[in-house]
Amino acid sequence: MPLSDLLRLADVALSGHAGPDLPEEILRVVVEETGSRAGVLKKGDEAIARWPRTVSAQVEEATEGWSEIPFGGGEGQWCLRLLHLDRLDESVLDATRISLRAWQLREELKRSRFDERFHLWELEAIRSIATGIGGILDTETLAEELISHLVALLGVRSAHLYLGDSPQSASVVGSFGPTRLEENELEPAWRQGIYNDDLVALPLQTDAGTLGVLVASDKEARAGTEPFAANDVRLLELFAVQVTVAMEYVRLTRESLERERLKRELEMAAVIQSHLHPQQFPDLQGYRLAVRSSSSRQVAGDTYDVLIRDDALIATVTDVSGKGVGAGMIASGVHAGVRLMVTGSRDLSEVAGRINSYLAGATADNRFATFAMVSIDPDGRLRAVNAGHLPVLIRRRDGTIEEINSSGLPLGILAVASYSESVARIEPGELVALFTDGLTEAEDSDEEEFGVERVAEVTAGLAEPSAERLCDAILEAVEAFTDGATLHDDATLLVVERLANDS
Amino acid sequence: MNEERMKISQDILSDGFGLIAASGYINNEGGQAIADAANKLMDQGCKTLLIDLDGTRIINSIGVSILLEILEKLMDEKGQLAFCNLTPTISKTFEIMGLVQYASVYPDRETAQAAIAGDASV
Repeated sequence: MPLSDLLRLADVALSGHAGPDLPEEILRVVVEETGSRAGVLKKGDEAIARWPRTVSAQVEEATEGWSEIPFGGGEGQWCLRLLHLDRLDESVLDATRISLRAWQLREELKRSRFDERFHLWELEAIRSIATGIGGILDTETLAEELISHLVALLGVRSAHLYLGDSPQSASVVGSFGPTRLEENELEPAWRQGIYNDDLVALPLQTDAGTLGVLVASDKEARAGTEPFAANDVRLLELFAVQVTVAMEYVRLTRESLERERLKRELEMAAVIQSHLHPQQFPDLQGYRLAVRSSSSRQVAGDTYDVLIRDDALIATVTDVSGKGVGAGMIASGVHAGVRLMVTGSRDLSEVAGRINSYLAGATADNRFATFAMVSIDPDGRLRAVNAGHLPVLIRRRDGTIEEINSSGLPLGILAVASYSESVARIEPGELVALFTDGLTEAEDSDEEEFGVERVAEVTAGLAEPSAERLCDAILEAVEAFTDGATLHDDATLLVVERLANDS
Repeated sequence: MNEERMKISQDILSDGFGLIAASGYINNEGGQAIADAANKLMDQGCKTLLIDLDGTRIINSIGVSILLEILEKLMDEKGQLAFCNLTPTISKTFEIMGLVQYASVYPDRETAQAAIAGDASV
């Protein structure tokens, strides 16, 4: 009952349970029914099945007695080749055609369903990568994740991700399989990409330039490999965009975290530095102090200190060249040095000399600090040392101004430097002002500096002089001069007032 | 990441129940190695196959199509196919590609063996 056998096979094909062996089964039935010795089933030029299986193409070529029977199927027509055909019933051909057509439709349906699902797989992989981007900040882990998706979806035997600032410095951060990109190919890949049958390398481009190269090679076919198709390149381009976005995200997130960390560290440094300044001034009978200090950055290069040693009031102001953390660290070093050294010596020039030696050995070549220190005994005897700093101003009761000028180089320039001590007397009702160049270098709209002279003028012209009033008056004058503009440098003003006898 | 060449072993766990342990890249070569092992077990009378993919992280479309063929062949024989130790990515892939529609998936080999033995005893 061959006809019924063939129709049963058609039914099997339509039911969806037919595997790739069904054409062979159909051919076997046809060979038996037609009394042939062997058969080959062809679609176009391709042999779909051979029966017996031992009938190879070579055997087919070398044997005579084949009958060739085309039996429809449209484009890529079906053809039966039967060896020593004995009999042929038209109904067998019809049944064969129906069975094969049913099998073919079923196979096309399966292929179409597979393709449809494969597109869903592509979408899922892209979604998965996009989701993963938010959770992975380790470049290599992210690269491995991306590469494994790429290998799976593109069906390649190797894939590599290079990242770096240039082709010369780029390194592999994610890989699968053997490296196929030659060393001398990285540069052309970086510039315009490489599109070969067996290797595609795409540059990862951002607005800021190329950040790497994504390479895929050896696209697999059912047997062996096949050239990359346009769709494969399109998919790889999509991956390249995803990789670029992912890597940029990692970079920006890291930078943001680093900025946040630095910000916290700066805040901490500013807090530490602010605690170095006296939280309240020491109490020396007959004296009163006032201070104003502002920094252009979180950590200031200015610092000041007030302390009592051997009944004398010691006030210092330091201004380190430059700004920010580096300047702040040096300012803190000077602050600590003064505290330590004034304990062992009453000679201010010696203190300044020793701090200078320490700084010269401990700081970079281009760093230095200007420094002014006054020591005032309870009876008004004043000693001062000025290392490259702005003059220290003394306001006498009658409004005249005296200056204690620099007696040496700023601290830290030369390993050995000498400083001389200035001596004066402060009478009741008189003021001593120490300040940094953040005040004197404040500029108006014509870029003219406020200058020491204006500080002296304000100081001289102060009615009812006191430490607090002098601070306020100088700052108000600076603000009026700059028309309220922000100061570009750290600014410190420290005023010591010897109280009038009637205060 | 290494080349992940396929390592494969097969065993008959009980009458009609075969195990294939496969680790590595399931591509055309890896997939064919699994298909060869499956055919061998089917030739030895196994109609239920458990494929343990512990150590397998990547499967491509050709690998999936080969596993689908093994599934079809087993269904023709009224048999069944099961998988265990799938990574989340492969599990999702099998779900999308329709493999889990007709094949069972278990978290590990012990659970799979117990479930399949339970089915057989019913």
